[in-house]
Amino acid sequence: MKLPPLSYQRPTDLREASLMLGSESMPAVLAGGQSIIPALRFGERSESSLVDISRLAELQGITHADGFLRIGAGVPMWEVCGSPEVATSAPLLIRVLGSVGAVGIRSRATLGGSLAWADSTSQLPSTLIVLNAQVETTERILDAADLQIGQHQTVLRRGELIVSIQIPEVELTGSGFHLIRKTHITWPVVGAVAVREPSGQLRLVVFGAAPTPILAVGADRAKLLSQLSSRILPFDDERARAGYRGQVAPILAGRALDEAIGSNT
Amino acid sequence: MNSTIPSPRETNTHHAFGQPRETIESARHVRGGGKFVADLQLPGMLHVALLRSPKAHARIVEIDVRQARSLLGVHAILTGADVQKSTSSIYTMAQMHKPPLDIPLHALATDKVRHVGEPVVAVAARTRAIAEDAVRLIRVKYEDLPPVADADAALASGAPLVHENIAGNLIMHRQHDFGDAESVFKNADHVVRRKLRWPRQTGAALETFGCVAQWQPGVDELTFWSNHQSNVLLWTLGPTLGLPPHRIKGIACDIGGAFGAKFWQPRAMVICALFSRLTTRPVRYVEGRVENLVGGDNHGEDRTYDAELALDSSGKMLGLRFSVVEDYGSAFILGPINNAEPLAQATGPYDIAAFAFDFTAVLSNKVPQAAYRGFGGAAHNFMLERLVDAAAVELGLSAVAIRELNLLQPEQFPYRTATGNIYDSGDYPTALHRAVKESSYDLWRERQARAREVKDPTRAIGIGLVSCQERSVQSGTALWLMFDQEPGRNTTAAESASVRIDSQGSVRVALHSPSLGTPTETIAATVVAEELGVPADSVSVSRLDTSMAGPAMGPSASRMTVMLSGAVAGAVREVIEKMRPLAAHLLEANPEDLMWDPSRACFTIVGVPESSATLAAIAHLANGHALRLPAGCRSGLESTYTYDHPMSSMPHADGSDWGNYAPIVGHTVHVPVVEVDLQTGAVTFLDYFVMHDCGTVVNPDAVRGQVVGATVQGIATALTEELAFDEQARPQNTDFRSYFLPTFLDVPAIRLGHMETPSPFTYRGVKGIGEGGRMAAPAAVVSAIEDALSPYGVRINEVPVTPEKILKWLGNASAAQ
Amino acid sequence: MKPVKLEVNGIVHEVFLEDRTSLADALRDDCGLTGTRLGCEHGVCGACTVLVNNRPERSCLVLATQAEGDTIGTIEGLAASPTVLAPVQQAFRQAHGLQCGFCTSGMLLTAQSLLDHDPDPSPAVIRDWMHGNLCRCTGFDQIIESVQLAATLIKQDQAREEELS
Ligand SMILES: Cc1cc2nc3c(=O)[nH]c(=O)nc-3n(C[C@H](O)[C@@H](O)[C@H](O)COP(=O)(O)OP(=O)(O)OC[C@H]3O[C@@H](n4cnc5c(N)ncnc54)[C@H](O)[C@@H]3O)c2cc1C
Ligand code: FES
Ligand code: FES
Repeated sequence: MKLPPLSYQRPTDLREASLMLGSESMPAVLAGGQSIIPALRFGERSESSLVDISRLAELQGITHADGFLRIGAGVPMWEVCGSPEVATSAPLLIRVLGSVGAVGIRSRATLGGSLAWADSTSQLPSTLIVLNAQVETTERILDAADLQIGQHQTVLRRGELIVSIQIPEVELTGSGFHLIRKTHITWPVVGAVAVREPSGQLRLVVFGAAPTPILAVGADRAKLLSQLSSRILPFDDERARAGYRGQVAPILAGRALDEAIGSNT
Repeated sequence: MNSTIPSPRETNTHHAFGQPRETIESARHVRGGGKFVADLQLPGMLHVALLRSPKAHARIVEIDVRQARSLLGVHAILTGADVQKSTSSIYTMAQMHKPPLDIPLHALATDKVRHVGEPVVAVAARTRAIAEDAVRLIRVKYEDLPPVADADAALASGAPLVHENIAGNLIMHRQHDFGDAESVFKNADHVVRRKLRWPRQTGAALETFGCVAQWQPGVDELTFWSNHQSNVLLWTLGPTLGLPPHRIKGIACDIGGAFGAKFWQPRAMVICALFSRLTTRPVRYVEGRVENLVGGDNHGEDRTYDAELALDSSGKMLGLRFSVVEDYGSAFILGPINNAEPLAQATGPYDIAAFAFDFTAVLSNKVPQAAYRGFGGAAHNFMLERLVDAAAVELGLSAVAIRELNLLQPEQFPYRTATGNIYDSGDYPTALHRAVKESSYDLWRERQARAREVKDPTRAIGIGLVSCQERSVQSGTALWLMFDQEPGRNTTAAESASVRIDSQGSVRVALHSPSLGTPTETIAATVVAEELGVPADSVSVSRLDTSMAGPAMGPSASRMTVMLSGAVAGAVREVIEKMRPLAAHLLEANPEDLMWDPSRACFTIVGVPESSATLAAIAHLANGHALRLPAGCRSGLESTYTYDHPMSSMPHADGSDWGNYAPIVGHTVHVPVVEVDLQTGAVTFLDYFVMHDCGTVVNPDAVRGQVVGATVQGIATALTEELAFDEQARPQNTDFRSYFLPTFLDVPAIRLGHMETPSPFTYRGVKGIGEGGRMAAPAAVVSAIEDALSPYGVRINEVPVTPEKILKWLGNASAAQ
Repeated sequence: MKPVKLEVNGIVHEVFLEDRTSLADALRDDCGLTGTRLGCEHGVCGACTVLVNNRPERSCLVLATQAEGDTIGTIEGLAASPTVLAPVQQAFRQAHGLQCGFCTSGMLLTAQSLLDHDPDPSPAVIRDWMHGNLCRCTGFDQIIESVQLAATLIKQDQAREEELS
């Protein structure tokens, strides 16, 4: 199974990237390539040109700025996992990244790519939402929660690139993460991630239970779960049926909350 | 065997067997130096891509290849019409039936497509990428026909026909009763019954199928390089291609795993052959992964059982019977083998006198079945062990007690089963007791009891236990059971090997059939070491192509270690006999007074060990020193030995006895311990213990690799793997994102216990080991999960057991309460 | 088609490729390095794993042209010379970490990257690091032991070197 014919361009900076992306040929963005390349092979995506943003300096780097941890959208997950900055400021992100694909995928896959790919079963956008992250694009700054609007659908406009992810550096008093998967090299079926803020406020995000991540915020565990139940809109795919997702999502949500409430990380 | 060397049953000293040893094969593989079929680079080689049907059942109205043909780099295009003009139907077992069953199979679909993934048009181009581009430019117009999506649909009245001349989609229906099962069931105190479902799965070797064909004009000879696991396929391609078989040469490449699923892949070989004849270039096809899963002619058994076990009031098993309906898909490639082969061990390790079955084979619009590790034995063992578990529950016996009561006893061997197949040897009670002890079975039961007292609503522990047979060393006669056939078709599936010793005393072995990714080269070298006494790593091993190969079926149904060691040992012993007069000449002794001493690799005079003729000295003399040879001897030191199946026997004409076709029988007990998450249905392993007995062990690490590897495949059979079809017969699991192979994190470490009950019938007592793990693990894992869920009254009658199903069953159980 | 320079195992190959050519195909078909295997071509199996700047990557999901300027290591370059084996290769032979050998190239390179990262990995760490590499033959146990043996062999080599210096 070879790739169909395509042309490849590697811009030297963001400005050039935007120009290329605006061109007639309607190119696709190539970051880590771990989702777009298989999709092109399977004919699930049909772009015939690629703009490689993986080496753009503007999309690299992990830094602290103004109370935020800023992670370049093009930084491979491998580097995020190995970063001491992330380990201290957002240990939950490292824990969750450890469940994404495998090292040989994380060596290239990027946070920006994961957000833009916007798969409803991914644990990553949900984690960034639970961490109250902001997404810096070439055009604006968005709440991570406002990015995805459907399965593989985001509010990003054509040519708009994610530049960085900015995670507020708040000391959390607890976190929890639970998911179900068929095997450890396939995407999750359904899962939940939760944190407890110093105020006692809980944030819960459930993935794989609706076309977009479901965010619920509040101090009361039971209320969060009931908020959740009204928003579950499960779907069938090759890994599970809607009924199962709907049944298990609240269970995992409860466990993630319990862990967040009971733990002190 | 005409040899004066001490036979293994007289002396039990092993020189090379049973010792840890690096494999010959691994030396190239750790360097990336294996030569797989996709690694072949031949000048001018063309690459094939196939347009495969997106529909399960449709008439082909029109094929337009004009645009594809004009694409730069495309050399040739074939459609079904071209194939039909230049070949006859591919030789399948349907044709060997008497009279032939009218289930033709062409390399490319002709009038209509019969399954999703059926090849319709083939393109040969300069690169695979260009060939795929061309395929995208081809337009095919189909006229939809109603698809037959499963066995029920196939047998429904008025069902659409998959093949027009097979009425009711019914390939065959057979009933056999061995030992008057009917009256046994009538009079039994207890009868337990289960209806079971086993869907398709596949070997999914990491390497897909591939081949290269090279036609040589003038000589009219066709050479195939390929990674299919058996010579049998090559023998059958001649009639299809209109070539005398000796004009077809098969060269085996390294093979990246097979598991039965590379046994029969004729379609692409025919296509490559036709392209090569057309272009006179070498032509290669390598399956993509989707093609492998969807259209690779490699799916395993697909059946439903309605099965019953009759017992007396004490729990003694009296009879087994079942009716089975098997969905063979759109052709009958290997005949009813997936149903015939398991009957070698129909009644398992138990002493059951009466056995009967009712077998129905149907056609459907699925890709044809072939083989997957166990030839249907995994499903059969699953059926039998489900019944045994059910009987234990019904009679209030423990899983251990019901087996203790019914296992065959050591003194019953050789044991003749109800169907006539012999079990050569075994010690099943010891295997069971050791398994119980070494798995800490009782401790797990205590832990389970404590957990049950706590009544944790979120999780439950389950302990599985099964005792299963691993029939091995298939004789070809298995292929013909249940078949009306020409007499004389019963191949006993011999295996050949050649051994040559050069003037330096170096030993070369040539194997006559392909590998399937198991260390056959190492086994051959080890047998040479065992017999001759030279170090195994000094032996060179190569493979003959089929043009000079003797009768050699190649690996399937766990036959290779037994058959190959028989062939190599036979050849070595003949070479030793050729050396005897030469050694006598050198030692000025009487040939009869000499004996071969494998501990020193020399001939010695009996009783005078210090006077010896070394291998090197004899070999030097034997290779081209005619003037120094004793009278009556010729130069050259080699032998080709064809080893016949050690105890195959003819089926009885009246069907009362099916003869011996897999009589070398290993045994295994599996004890998995699982924890089931009652809220999510997730299953995790707390332990997995396997007790196994494959007779004499040639290479302990290789045996462990086979047992663990097959067990892990069996675990995935139980939990995740399935090739499902929707009601339109469209495959649902088309790539590795939806066909769920297990990873390092999905399976437990497997603890092993070894037993060695040598076979009295084979070379040094070896038995096959390739399939047992997969033939037992599905039954064992399901047994464990059912045990965990038993407080909720859940009964499990199918695989795979997914979290989704577990929650459904728990829901049904609580709704019923 | 355009010229692409690939630095593989310390040697620069100049090859002419279409943009769509994957790194795996370029290595196998154009650089003559067929030890890199293709098991799925969609990122799941890991058979095509190579080291790019010392990280394990799936060469079926990287375009060859993307790898220009990178340092690529394949199975053919794992040992210092054709006549010796790297400890991890030796360990896989000794501990029977393979059967058919099709997953082995990717497995060895992933194992090497693990040992570079963690010289003394536990079985749990090995399972986690290696789980993107499927093996259909072994059932994994002997691979885990091979990686542990490799760790021991490397330590022995280092001890020997320290003794010498
Ligand atoms: C076998 C396998 C298992 C996997 N398992 C998981 C899993 O368990 N969980 C999970 O979440 N993911 C999983 N992934 C996916 C993986 O995490 C990534 O592929 C990822 O999500 C996408 O990142 P990428 O950098 O590879 O993006 P690419 O594949 O390069 O691009 C993906 C999409 O994002 C767009 N894009 C990329 N970067 C940007 C940007 N900066 N701005 C705007 N648009 C952009 C592209 O146009 C494209 O449409 C798996 C992948 C594989 C192959
Ligand atoms: S071939 Fe690249 S991951 Fe399978
Ligand atoms: S050794 Fe065959 S796939 Fe791993």
